[in-house]
Amino acid sequence: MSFNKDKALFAVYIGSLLLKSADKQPLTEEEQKDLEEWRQSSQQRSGIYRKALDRQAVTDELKELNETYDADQAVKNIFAALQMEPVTDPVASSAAGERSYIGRWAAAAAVLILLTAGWYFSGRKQHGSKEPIAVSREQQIVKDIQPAASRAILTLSNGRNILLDSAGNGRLARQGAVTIDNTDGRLIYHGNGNEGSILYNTMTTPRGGQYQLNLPDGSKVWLNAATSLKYPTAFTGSERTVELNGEAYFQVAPDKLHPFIVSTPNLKISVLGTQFDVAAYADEDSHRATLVEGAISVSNGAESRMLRPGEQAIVKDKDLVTGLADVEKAIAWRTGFFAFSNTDIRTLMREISRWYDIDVAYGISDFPGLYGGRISRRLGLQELIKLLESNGIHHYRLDGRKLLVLP
Amino acid sequence: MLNKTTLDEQELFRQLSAGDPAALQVLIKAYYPILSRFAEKFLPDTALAQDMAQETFIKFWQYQGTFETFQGLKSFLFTVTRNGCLNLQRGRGREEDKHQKSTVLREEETCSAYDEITRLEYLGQINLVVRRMPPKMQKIFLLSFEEGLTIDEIATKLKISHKTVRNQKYKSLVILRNRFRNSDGSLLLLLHLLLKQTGKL
Repeated sequence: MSFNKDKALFAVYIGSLLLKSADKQPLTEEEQKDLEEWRQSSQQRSGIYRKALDRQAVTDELKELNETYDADQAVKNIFAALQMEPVTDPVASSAAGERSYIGRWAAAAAVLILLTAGWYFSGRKQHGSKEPIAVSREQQIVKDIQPAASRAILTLSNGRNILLDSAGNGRLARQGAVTIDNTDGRLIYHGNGNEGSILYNTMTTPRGGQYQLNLPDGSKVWLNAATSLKYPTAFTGSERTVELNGEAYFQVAPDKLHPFIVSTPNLKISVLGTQFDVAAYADEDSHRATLVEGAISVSNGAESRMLRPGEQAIVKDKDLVTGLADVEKAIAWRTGFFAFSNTDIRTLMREISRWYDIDVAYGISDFPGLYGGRISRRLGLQELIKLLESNGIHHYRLDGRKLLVLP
Repeated sequence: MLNKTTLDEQELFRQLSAGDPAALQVLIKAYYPILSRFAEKFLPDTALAQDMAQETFIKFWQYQGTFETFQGLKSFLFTVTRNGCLNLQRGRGREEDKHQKSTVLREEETCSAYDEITRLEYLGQINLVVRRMPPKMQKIFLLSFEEGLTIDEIATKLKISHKTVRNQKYKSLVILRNRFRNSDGSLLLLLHLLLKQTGKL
């Protein structure tokens, strides 16, 4: 028997009301009612309420908790497992921002050597002629290319295009009995279209764009840049099918009677209710589905496999291969990072060109060497380039929206 | 309802959603003891319970940015911990379970589990305030709290203001500057990025 998420959420909510009450903060009428009802519903609960107001008991327990469990050691263990560096002074660095690093992947040893700040240098000489980066007024005025923002185009069933960005909030349109609302980078479908013909909408993110979509069944989809998703305005059939080109992260609402199908040119994923990522960019030679939670079945048309959480299915040249996934790396885009390991410069650059909406050209034809590392997706393009250049492997020249990669 | 505690919490939630490791560290310091205590309710082995709590944070970090509210985030922490314990229990005590537990007992257990969440979440919110402070201030805070002062009153008493935070930040800049004396270009780039951040204050 699994834990009920809604009950857990309610329990957390009451916990917050307890605090407000104990801390003499004002409660709304509804909050007072909820707390009273909860308090009176059982002896155990009225006991918890009483004890919460007993400040001595509370401080005793807090002291005991903090002494019994070594949180500092836990921080070290957790950060080590996440391959991150603990922050030196949490009070001071509350806005320190993400740690970013990129370095050359030693194909043989495959060991990432990190300096304390998380910078990785390949060991090559630093360029002597490199000027220190001056924090001058003039430099800051030059407008930097921004990373992807909430931007997409919604194509309705009648072919009409609506430009979406976080500025235009509110009721957007109606498709039959279904209403479409737009709020802060998220498009939400409400309603119950039980009509004869099925209406399809398509959401497309451009390069430099990303968007979130709430489907009529409650499933949530996050679209990465340069991605399109075609879906019906209401799921009326025995299956819930959507078509994907590009990359999206799915959180599918459970419905055992109606499997959710994600269809891409090379991969078909079938799910009951779960979280997973699908990367199916036309310009990448391998497409993959990574399962975070739940269970999905993946097929390339010829064969199909079941995945378990933490596993990944890759289709390349019509072969379907499954194995353990680096889940964190696969969904790093959702958590605000580019994450690479054993990646060549061209694949890296394709990811960057989609996110920043730039074109990339190469000074020479051959760029050997593989990259590994993690960079924040929130950096402006110029900062990103400085980071890439800092390990002295390649040079970059930016001209408008064209990036030239040089040896 | 916008007192200091609420504002701080919203700020922490925003930072967590943005993937700020410093925010994760704050969350762990406050909620690791809470979740360990919670896990111990289902796994009497303390070491296992603590492992479970750590696993929860590791799993959580893969999901940051996907929570709509701070309460949803915290509910996730408790749920994941509980489910993790359940999975372990299922794996181990199968034989015992068959003989002993009835479904009625299970339900009672679960009821009290939710109440335990309420109780621990209440403590967790206070811990969130406490554990951000240096050890000396923590002691003063707890004493004042025992005496009956509200969190806002204690904050005023300890004069935890933006000014103090700003000073702390400059202190850490100096420490980092000294540490990076030897690495040429990185020092200036790092400073550049950090200065940009402090500018935001």
